[in-house]
Amino acid sequence: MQQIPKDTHTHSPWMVWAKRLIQLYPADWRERYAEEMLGILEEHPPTFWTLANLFISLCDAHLHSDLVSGGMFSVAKQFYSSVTTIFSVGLMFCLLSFALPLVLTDVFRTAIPLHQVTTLHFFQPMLFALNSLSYLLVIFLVLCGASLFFSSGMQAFKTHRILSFFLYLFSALCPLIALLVSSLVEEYAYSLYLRDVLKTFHLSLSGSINLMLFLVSLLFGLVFFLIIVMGIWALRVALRRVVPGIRSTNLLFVSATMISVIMLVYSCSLLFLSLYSFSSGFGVQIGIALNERTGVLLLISILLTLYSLMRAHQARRTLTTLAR
Amino acid sequence: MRSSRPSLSDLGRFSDPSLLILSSLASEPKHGYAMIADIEQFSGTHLEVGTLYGALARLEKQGWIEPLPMIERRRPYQLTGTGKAVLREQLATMSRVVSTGLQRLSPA
Repeated sequence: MQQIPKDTHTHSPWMVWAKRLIQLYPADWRERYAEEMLGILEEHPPTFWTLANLFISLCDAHLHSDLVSGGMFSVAKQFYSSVTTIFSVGLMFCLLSFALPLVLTDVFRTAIPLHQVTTLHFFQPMLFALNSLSYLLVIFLVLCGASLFFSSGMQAFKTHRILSFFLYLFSALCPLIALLVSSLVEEYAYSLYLRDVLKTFHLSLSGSINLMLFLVSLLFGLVFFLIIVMGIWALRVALRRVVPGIRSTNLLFVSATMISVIMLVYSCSLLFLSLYSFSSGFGVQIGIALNERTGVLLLISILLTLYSLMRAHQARRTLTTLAR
Repeated sequence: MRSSRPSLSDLGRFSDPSLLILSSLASEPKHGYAMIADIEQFSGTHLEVGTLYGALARLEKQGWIEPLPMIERRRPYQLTGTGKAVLREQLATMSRVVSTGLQRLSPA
């Protein structure tokens, strides 16, 4: 078989595009087949149809990335990637769920005092259920973070990678820290409000906007958001330093699945509440406002839930492969 | 009714290229380019690289072919025992279809 000289094809535009397409294949696929594919393309010059075929196969490779796996390490890596993504998505969802009462009650326009915002949902079963789900989500996030910590953080500690150890510890505890710190901020602000220290800020702008509530809500949200983002960042940095071990895998999978399920129940409940409120005027009766902000919140929660469920499904598949 | 035994039809749109690849490997182990040339020669079908490796990945996953050590950017593949059995069964089915079809076409 006569080999065609490299120079004839490596500079042809079809070959350049073929190489680019091959670079877009999943990492495991590239590692396994790219060299062989390029070898064939150098011997058999690519045409437009070769590129079209490569593009279709590229989509296929991404849809069936589990077809090619570089051994158990790669499968384990896929599993942990899915779980840590669910963990990160769960943290963002947590932020969103705690922002819900503020958005629903439309505090900035109706000038409801902050303590009523936090107590309002205890009188409404649906809002109470949503609020309870948020706390349940925190529990499973902590459980998931703890499993990650025990499968990797302890490994980092044993190998004297102290920074990685603390990064794992922080990401495991960040849902609790976020909840605690933001609650403290809220309580402190409200106590100031009660003592009339901040009453001077209780100004009406444009007729009905409560400045004090706006500032406290902003502070509450910012603190929560910053801690959550730091938690996600810490987890990503830690994962680059210490690859998780196989310990606590089942607990990790169960907690990741539960996070996705809670998100699903939460999104469905929110959807039901929104539809019910629109149809019956329920929202007006209890003083909650369902507006474009609620719609955006609902849309984001549904998107996060769908993504999380997809990754949970991937985690289940890779776990089955690991078990085999 | 679908059979519970593994068959080429499990590979969906990759079942036809897979049959060609298994048939090509039936004689001896071959690398990708040799398979393309051989298939083109015995069936007149030109397999594109993307389709070839999509089918190879599936056949490997099923355990019907196995890779051999790489030689100068070329990795030969060979049929496994299961692969031979699957190919034999598929060809037997096709042979029955061919003979039945020819028999029914011939004048009574």
